[in-house]
This record gives sequence, structure tokens and C-alpha cells, in this order.
Amino acid sequence: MLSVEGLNVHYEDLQVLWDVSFEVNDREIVALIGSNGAGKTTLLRAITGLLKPTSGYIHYDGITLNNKRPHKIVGLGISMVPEGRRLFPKMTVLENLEMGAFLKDARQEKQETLKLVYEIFPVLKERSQQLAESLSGGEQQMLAIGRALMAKNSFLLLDEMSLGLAPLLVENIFEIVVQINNAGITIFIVEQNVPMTLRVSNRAYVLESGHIVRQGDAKMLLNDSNIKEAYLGMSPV
Amino acid sequence: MGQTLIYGILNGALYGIIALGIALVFGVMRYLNIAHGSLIILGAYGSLILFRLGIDPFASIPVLMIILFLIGTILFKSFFSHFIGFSEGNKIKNSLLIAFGLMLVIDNLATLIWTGDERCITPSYSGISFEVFNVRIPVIGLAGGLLALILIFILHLFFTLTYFGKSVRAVSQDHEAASLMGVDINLTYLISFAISVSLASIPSVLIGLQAFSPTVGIRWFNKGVIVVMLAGLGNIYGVFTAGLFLGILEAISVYFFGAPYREVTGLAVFVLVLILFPQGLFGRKGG
Repeated sequence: MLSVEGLNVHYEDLQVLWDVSFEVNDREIVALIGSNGAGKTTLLRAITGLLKPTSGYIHYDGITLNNKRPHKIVGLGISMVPEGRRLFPKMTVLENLEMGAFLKDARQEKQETLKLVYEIFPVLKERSQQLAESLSGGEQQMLAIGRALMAKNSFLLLDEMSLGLAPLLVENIFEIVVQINNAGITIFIVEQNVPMTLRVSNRAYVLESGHIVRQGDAKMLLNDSNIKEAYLGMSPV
Repeated sequence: MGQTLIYGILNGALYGIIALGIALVFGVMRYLNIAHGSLIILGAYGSLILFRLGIDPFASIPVLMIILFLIGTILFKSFFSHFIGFSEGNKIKNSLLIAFGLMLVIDNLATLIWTGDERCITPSYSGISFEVFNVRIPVIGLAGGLLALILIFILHLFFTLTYFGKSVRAVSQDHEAASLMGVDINLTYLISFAISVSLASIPSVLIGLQAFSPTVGIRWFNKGVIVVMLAGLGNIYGVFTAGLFLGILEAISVYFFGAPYREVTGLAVFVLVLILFPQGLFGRKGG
């Protein structure tokens, strides 16, 4: 579905991603783990068109995304829940969700999709008339995910969902991610929270200083001693 | 006193509409269009031409709206679209520079075409006023005030009920997030700029009915930008109220201190408000 080949990205004169290649197949949950500053968000910004890669290819369902503008890429089927949520602060919960359904096709199914989103996140229905900026951190994360779902796209990018959230909430949200995937949506999840992420994913890639250094089955990586040491804070046995 | 207040309110409504146009462009794309006043004067000349062709000034408003909308799209595509991706600070500086050049071109073209003479559109109802409770309300002023209210109402409906209106608000709050929703932000910028220029059509006619000459545009821009800052930069809603505030304030100062102090009082209070409320009276960042 999504395939990235030999991607190089520069941020002004600094190279941030080096020859990055990976793929995400239909209905998978694939994770990209790495510490702060590894280049994860840069990669997602390149996929969604917010950044132009220097070289390499990004293909989605056979279409090259490389030089397309962000709003066109959303139209092709990829939605993102951005790092830091990026809600519209002075708009209500309902208005934020409505903006999620901005695309022509999504707009037509808006009412039904809204019902679904309210079922997954009942708190959003309660707070539908409140301004997005007045919500708690966890509620904002739910709104960000709900808003991305409103586009009815089949590919979802999740950027650092768990940042700043209490552990119980994080568990809750990861459960919902699995739910969403079961409903047929392919998920590419970028995270610092390694154990949770590997537990819900099929496969994972490890990004270190802009390079993909490991890849494989998620459970296998979870049990790998190097990963344990580097990302789970466990000392080598 | 009542009489002064009425004039203050009517003037304030005019300031408010001018400020609305400036605030829209600033709020959405952080451009400061110093040529907005000159565009208003251009519209006044347009209304004058139409008046000589037999069209009532108020009836010319829809025509001017469309023409100014088109002019706005041409201006944006030709001059203002090139730096839309710059940082906020650079957008303000560049837009100011380009718009200043535009202002000079418009003002001088107008002087060439129509001479520097002061003009005024004088329909048959020019001097008529209503008398209510010992206070005289000019018909033109009243019509202007009503138009302003209707405009505010329509804009409110536009921003809250239409998808495009909501997308304009979204773009002004977080343009990257808006593009992730599928909003074509360049198109949004273009149309917002064009709407702002077309909003100049109402002040065009109201000022046309008073007095205007090719170079007074900047004075009206100054009023407008003071109101925008009073309301809080980026705030589109508080702008009209802030306009009324300035209008009433000026009127009161005329009553107590006399006409020469009108401008000074307005400016002095403006400075005071910014010192005490740096965010503006109603403002916070983003609209």
C-alpha cells in the first residue's frame, strides 16, 4: 500500500533522513520506533507532503506522492494525526470533527461517520460544543484521532500519540487503535513509547539518527535484547 | 450629547467595516494590506462613475463588490501570492512593502485620471435626516449603519455555517493542520484576500457620499488598523465593536475638548489601551 524507497530528506542544509526504505501493507499495523530527534516526524511530514524529500520515492497504491501538495495527498487516502494534535483551538469539538470531513466524499457521509466517532469516543459527544483548546490532554488526543477518522481514509498515520498522556489513557487509546485497525484501516504508528507500540503492531522499523537500523516482526523485536537495552531501559542480561 | 453619540456610532460603524477588511487578511494570512484605504477610494471613484451613469450609490454596492473581488484575485495572484509561505514576521514586512507600492500606484493613477480635486457623490437624499428624540440622524448614515449590521450578520453566517467559511477560520488558526484536512490553503488565501478587497465596497460608497480625493485612502487605513489593533490582532469578531468604541470615543472627545482634539484623543487612548491590554481589548492570538 505505502512504499518508501531510498528517501533522503534535508532540513535546510542538514540531512535528517538517510536512504530510508520501508513498506506498509494493507490492513497492517506497522510501527516506527526511535528516540527523540531520530527523524520520525520528518518522515511523516515528507509522506504527507508538508516537506519535500531531496531524493527517493514515496508510493501509495501505485501513485507517486513525492511532489504532491498535502491536501491532494489527503484526497488520495492518507490521513494523519499530527504530533501535538494540531487541533483548531478556537473551533468547537464538532467543528474540528467537521473539518476532518472536509473532502467531498467524506462530507457526504459526515453524519454517519460522526455517529461512529461518537461511539468510539463518547466524551467527544458530551463536549461537542466546547472549544478544542478547553479540552484535557487525553480528550484532545481523542479529538485529533476522531478528526482524522472523519476523512474516511483507509490509511492512518499516527505521530507520537502517547506524548504527555497518563498511562491509563495511553492504554485506552492503543486499544482503540487496534479497534480501528480491525475495522479495516491500515496504520503506521510513530512512537517513543516502545513496549505499547510493539505489542499492538505486526511489524516494526527502528529509526536511529535518520537511518533505519532494524526491522522485523514486532513481537520478535520486543524480545530482542538490544532493543530492550536501548529503548526499554533494561540492562543487558 | 446625544447628537454627538449618534455621529460617533455611525462613524464607528464605518471604521468597523474598514477594519473588518484589514482584519480578515491579517487574521488569515498575516498580511498587512496598507493599500486597503486606497482600494476603498478606488471604489469611491467607481461609485462616482456609476452615479453619473444614473446608478444610485447604494445600488452600486453589489456591482462594486464583484469588481473589487475580481481586482482582489488579480492583485493577489500578481503580487501577493509569492511570499505566502514565508515566516510570519517576513510576511508582515513583505506584504507591507508590496501593499505600500500598490497604494502609491493606485493613488497616483487616481490623481492622473480624476485630478486631485475633492469629490462627493450627491444623490437627492444627501441632506435628509430623521429627527428622533431631539436628535438628527442623517439618512445616509443610518443606511450605512444598517448595512454594516447586515454585513456582520452575513459574515457570521458565512464563517459558522458554510464549509468554506469554516475552512477560512481553520486556515487562520493552523494552516498546516488545515491542509491535512484536505483544504487547499493557497485557494483559501486567494479567496480570503479577494473577499477582503470586495468588503471595501461598502466603505467606498459611504465615503463617496461624504468627501474624498485620491490621496485620502491612507487616513482611512489608519483608522482601520487602529481598530484592528484595539480589537486584538487576528480577531475578526471583536473588530466591529472596537470600531464603535473608537467612533464613540472620538465623538465624546469632540464634545468635551472640541474638534481639533478628535484625532489626538483617539490616538492617545489607543496607546493607553495597548499599554494596559497588549493583546487588545478582546484579543488573543489567532482568530
